[in-house]
Amino acid sequence: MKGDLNRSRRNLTSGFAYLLCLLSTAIALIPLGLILVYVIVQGAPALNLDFLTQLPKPVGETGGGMGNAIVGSLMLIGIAAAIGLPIGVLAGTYLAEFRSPRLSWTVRLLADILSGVPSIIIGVFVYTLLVLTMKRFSALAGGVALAVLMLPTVARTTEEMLRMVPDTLREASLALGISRWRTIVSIVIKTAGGGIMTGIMLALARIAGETAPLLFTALNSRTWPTGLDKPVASLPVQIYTYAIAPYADWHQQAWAGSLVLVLMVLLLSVGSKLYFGRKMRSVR
Amino acid sequence: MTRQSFHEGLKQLNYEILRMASLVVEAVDLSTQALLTGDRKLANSVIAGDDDINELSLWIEGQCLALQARQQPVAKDLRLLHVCLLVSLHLERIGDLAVNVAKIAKRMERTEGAEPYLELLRKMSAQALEVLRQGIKAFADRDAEVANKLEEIDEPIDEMFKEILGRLLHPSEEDQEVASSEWATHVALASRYIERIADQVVDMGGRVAFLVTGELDGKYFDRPLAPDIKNQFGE
Amino acid sequence: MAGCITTKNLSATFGDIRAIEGISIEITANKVTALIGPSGCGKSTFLRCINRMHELVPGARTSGEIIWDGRDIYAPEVDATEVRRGIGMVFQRPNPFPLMSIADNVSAGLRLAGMRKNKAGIDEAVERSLKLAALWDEVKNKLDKPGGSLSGGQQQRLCIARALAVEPDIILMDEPCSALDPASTQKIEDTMDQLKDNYTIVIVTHNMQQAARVSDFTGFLLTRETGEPGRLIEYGPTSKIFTMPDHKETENYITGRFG
Repeated sequence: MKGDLNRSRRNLTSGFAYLLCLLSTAIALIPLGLILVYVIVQGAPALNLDFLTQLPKPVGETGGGMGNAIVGSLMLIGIAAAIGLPIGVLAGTYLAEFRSPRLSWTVRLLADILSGVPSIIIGVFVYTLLVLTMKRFSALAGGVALAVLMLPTVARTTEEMLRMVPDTLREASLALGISRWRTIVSIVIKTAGGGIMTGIMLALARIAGETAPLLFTALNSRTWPTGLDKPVASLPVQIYTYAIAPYADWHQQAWAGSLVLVLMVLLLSVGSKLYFGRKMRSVR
Repeated sequence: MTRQSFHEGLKQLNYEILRMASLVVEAVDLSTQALLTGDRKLANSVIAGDDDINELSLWIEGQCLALQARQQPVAKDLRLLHVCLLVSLHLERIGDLAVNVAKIAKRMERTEGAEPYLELLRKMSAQALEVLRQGIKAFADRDAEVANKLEEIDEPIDEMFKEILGRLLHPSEEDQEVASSEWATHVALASRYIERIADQVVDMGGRVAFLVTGELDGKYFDRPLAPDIKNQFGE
Repeated sequence: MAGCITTKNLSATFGDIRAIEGISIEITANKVTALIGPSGCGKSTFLRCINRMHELVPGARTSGEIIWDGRDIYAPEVDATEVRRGIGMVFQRPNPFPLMSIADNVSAGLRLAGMRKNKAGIDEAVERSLKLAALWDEVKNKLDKPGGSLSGGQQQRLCIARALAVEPDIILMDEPCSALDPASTQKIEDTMDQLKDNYTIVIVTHNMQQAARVSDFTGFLLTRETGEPGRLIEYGPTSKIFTMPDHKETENYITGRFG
């Protein structure tokens, strides 16, 4: 009898805990769902080919689009990737593969601090570093700011992914008389490649939506991008500008821009998870 | 079966071998007594007692097999199992030889002029018993030295056997009648059996020496086959 | 002879911990040498000293000499990578490269260790190595399938083939069958028997029956007391060690009267 009582109490507790977890998960997912639904509902009507390919029209004229901001965003992400990825991946490789305990610890700490720095501060930093010295806002400055922003994420993800590669593979390679660097490049990084790519995509997705650091660096532009040393439009900044403007037409455009941005981010993160995630599973 | 019970099993095996050995000593002792005294009852008891010896021998063989199959014995355990199997085989043979002696004791009639032969048989029997006792002692004490001495104390037995045979084959004048009788065949066979008993013990001693030293015939056991063995028969 | 290894007074440490000490052993070419001993006696460490894998662990050091082909492999001018190319290793758990095909796994050493070979040469080496490892018949129709798609025993033979492809003199095996079922173990043991015609094999094993089955010579390592380094207690022909060991400690260990 006592056993039965205990069992029913256990079942009750277990069921309760299960419900609690389910509820929490649901609550956590609600905002995401709401955002997606809301952005789609509000943004979809204004989304058309013109929006994707046209320059913004001056105030008062209807139509036009955010073509330049989309291209600008891609350009900024490209610059950030070109600078941030090699440095980030190499730094992560260093942390994972060449373990001098003291230095790794310091680098890791710095990376963690850097990833905790508010993005607007990074904007100010790059402003001081590049905008003031070059005496102009530029796509380059924006790209550098985003690169700095993604650097710690890329480095730490790379490190973690490399660490997940079992040591037995490194040993297998070294025992074949394959040199250290060849082992790292051809075996370890290749094996962790899927995971690293996922991390990179997530980092790119994150910086794609950054607004604050771009306000001081890439600024904005109403024309198509013309060069690295010129200010350039970007989706987040454009959305911000349009959203705070007093015109209903622009609000409509801001929603459409948001939808494009959300889709871009989703494509990057979900797509990379699906593609590289499958590849990674075959490793283990 | 655990390692613990394996070691218990080895102990029991050792104990049963010694028990079998004491039965065999008794059989040899009684059969030769029967031979010398013509005591048929004694001879019959030896013949009847052989069943126990055979039974023990089979049990030991089975036990050696089972322990080897299940425990993959190595080192001294392996040597012990190997040697136990061979020792029990030797002891069983000795038991059979004692039965043979007992059977002769039943058939052999007293005859004139037998005394010198009986005296030789008495000496042979006593010596064979000594060899057997020493052989068993060597096994019980794991004493290679005693085991290696067996061949030496076996020598007088061989000498006496040759003497008996010689006297029967080339009898002197007064031995003529004895040597040509059925009795002489019995004596020849009995002396042959006793001599074989001692030989079995000597061979057994070689196994006991291996148990202690790991050497067969004084050499490392795992050795290449001598290349000239085939050619000995004139190939 | 190329497959002969002699260690002189070899000791190895991990930081302050002494793993093995004073091991002097002559490993005979074209024979299988087994190293047995209880867990933590340093037999794997010893093995990893032979192809300079030990030093990959941070803080790990060795002292003493290992003479291979007439020279000390720990001499300053000797390149560890080159040593490892001549002294291959097979590990406890099969560890094929997960993203590589069966063929690429086998040829990984050739392609990545800077041993230039053309396509035909590599294909030839792949086939030869897989045949040596007794795996060819099972995989010849699926060489482009991932190495991870094979069974555990096949993966281990793939790893053996991979080690053979770079044509080493010596193959070290660190408990190569401990993760395998008896049938796969049997196959690996048969493979070892075939290989010893052309290679020297040193195998560390927990399984004494395996040592007794596959090896020509056996070494017994033991840590006498906790905290003490492992030492070589006895070394000799396998049938001698398993029938008539010289040392009481060896006998106690192999007969299971340990501790």
